Amino acid sequence: MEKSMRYVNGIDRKKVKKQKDILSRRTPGERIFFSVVFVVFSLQTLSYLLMVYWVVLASLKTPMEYFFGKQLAFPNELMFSNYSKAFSGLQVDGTNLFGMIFNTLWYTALATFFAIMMPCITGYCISKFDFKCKNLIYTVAVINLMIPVVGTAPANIKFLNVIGIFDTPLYVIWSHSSGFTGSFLIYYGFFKSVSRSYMEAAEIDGANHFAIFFKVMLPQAVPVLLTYAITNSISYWNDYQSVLMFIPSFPTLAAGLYLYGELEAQRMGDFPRYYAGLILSVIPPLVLFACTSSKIMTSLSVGGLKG
Amino acid sequence: MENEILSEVDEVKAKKKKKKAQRGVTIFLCVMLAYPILEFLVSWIFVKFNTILMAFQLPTGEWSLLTFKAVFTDMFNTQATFSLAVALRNTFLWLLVSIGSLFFHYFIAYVFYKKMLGTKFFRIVFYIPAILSEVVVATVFKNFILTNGPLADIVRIFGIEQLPQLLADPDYANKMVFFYNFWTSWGGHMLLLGGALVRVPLEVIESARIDGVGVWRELVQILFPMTWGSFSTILILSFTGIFGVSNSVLMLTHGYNGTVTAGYWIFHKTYFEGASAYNQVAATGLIFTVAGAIIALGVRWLVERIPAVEY
Repeated sequence: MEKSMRYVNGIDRKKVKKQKDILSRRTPGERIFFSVVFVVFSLQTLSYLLMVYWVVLASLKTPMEYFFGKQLAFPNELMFSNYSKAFSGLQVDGTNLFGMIFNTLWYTALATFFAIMMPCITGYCISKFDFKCKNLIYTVAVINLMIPVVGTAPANIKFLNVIGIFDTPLYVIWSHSSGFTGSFLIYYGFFKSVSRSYMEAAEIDGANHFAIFFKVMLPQAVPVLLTYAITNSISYWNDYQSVLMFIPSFPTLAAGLYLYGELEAQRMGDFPRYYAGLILSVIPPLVLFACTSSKIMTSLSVGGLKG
Repeated sequence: MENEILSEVDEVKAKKKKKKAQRGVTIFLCVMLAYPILEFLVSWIFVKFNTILMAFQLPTGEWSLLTFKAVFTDMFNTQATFSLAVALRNTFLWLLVSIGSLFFHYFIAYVFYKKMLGTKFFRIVFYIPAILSEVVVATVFKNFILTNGPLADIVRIFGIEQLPQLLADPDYANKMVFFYNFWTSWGGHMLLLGGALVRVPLEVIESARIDGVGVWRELVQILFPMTWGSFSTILILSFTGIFGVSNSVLMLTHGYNGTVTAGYWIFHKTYFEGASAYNQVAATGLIFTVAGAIIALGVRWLVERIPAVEY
């Protein structure tokens, strides 16, 4: 009973308490130091909150009130209709906000799936099997990561045009299906640390190598995969420069809102409606972060580099 | 005799089994690695190698070194506000700032490690700019500091009647871009550095505290050497990616008013100028790649001179 009280979700509460006691022991001078830091951090937080406060207020004003009224003043009338207008009015090359959301969803899903799975496959194969060229592949992959080739976008556009996938969803698969990205090294290290006995036991049970990978080894990598899935999906959701360059006909939320913002700035248009669109676009990544923040914080911290 | 035959049969069976298992491994590896290796080769041959070839060509396809000549001329063009000279200056300035910021991020990670009041809250708040789209954060920031924006209303309270055009005036634009990047980066590297700090054995800290070690010595003389591995890795990565840095310049200034960086210069030429600038981008990219490789390997060599503490 006492033991079950001590461990909550696998965390040793006694150890955590001891850790907290040691780390939060302060001399009077240190207390002043940490108080100053607290004030600085609070001011930084306040600066973020001020921006949020302003943009939310601005999104609820009329264009006249936004341009000619006091910027931090509360709107005379809360224009919640700006949010519904954002769905119908924010259009870029015939794609409205719904279209952008749809493009963002498939772009994020495809890019995330391939970006996390391909390095996982290569990491597993190279860490768990001995074969000719294994060391060569590993060395070339590491050198490739250490020395990034700059300025490849034009050659990439030409190549994509030649094979006919420029400005098509296939580009997303092709460009995110590299098996030798930075996460390859993480998966390599992860699978190297997983005992071979799992593979051997499955082999004795008659499983072939595909079954071993998909049914035995891959489930063990789920925490790593999940962490990458969360962080990658947030970054693909927010990606706009690649979308602008390689799939301009499928504006995602980030790319579409950038293009729309450029138009609005030129014609001094309906900024409150634009801000409403911006706010709507950040809801999904914020919700995902809120649901998984503890997972992200602990997984990346624990899985980080030693020393 | 019979036993010999049986053992031979067993041997043959075992060999067959081994061969079958080996074949299974070969099929598995071929199926799983065929696409990644093909993708790697194709992207090297048709994209990266082609980038090298394009650097030695004119837009018409003729072989020439004129593209390099134009690039080098632009690298020394200090008169224009949008040139490779300005881009390189800003890129190296940003490198210095990001190294300084890295120490600051380490300090933030340390403060969180020490369980300062409000750690959980600040950790989430500082991380939020990293999960929001640059389009959103930069747009809000850009409009906040406009001459008719909320910042102008705030400074008026303090007697400043006219706020300068912070992103349109070359005297301020670059400083504002740097400020914006610093302001949004407080959560940078927090997770990796925080993870490294957590892994330092608590007994080390406990005994140091008993010996009367204060915050400064604890941070500089104990924790920093013990987490040098993580810190140096991030440091090397900062140098490795130096020519890819774009610093939200597209969102804030489009690179004008002296704010262009190397990474943005490449994006701008490719996206806004199109095919006519492709060869120039390739030549510049090639120079940056060679310079980047020398810098990255040099920094790596230097960093490895400092031994990491084993524990």
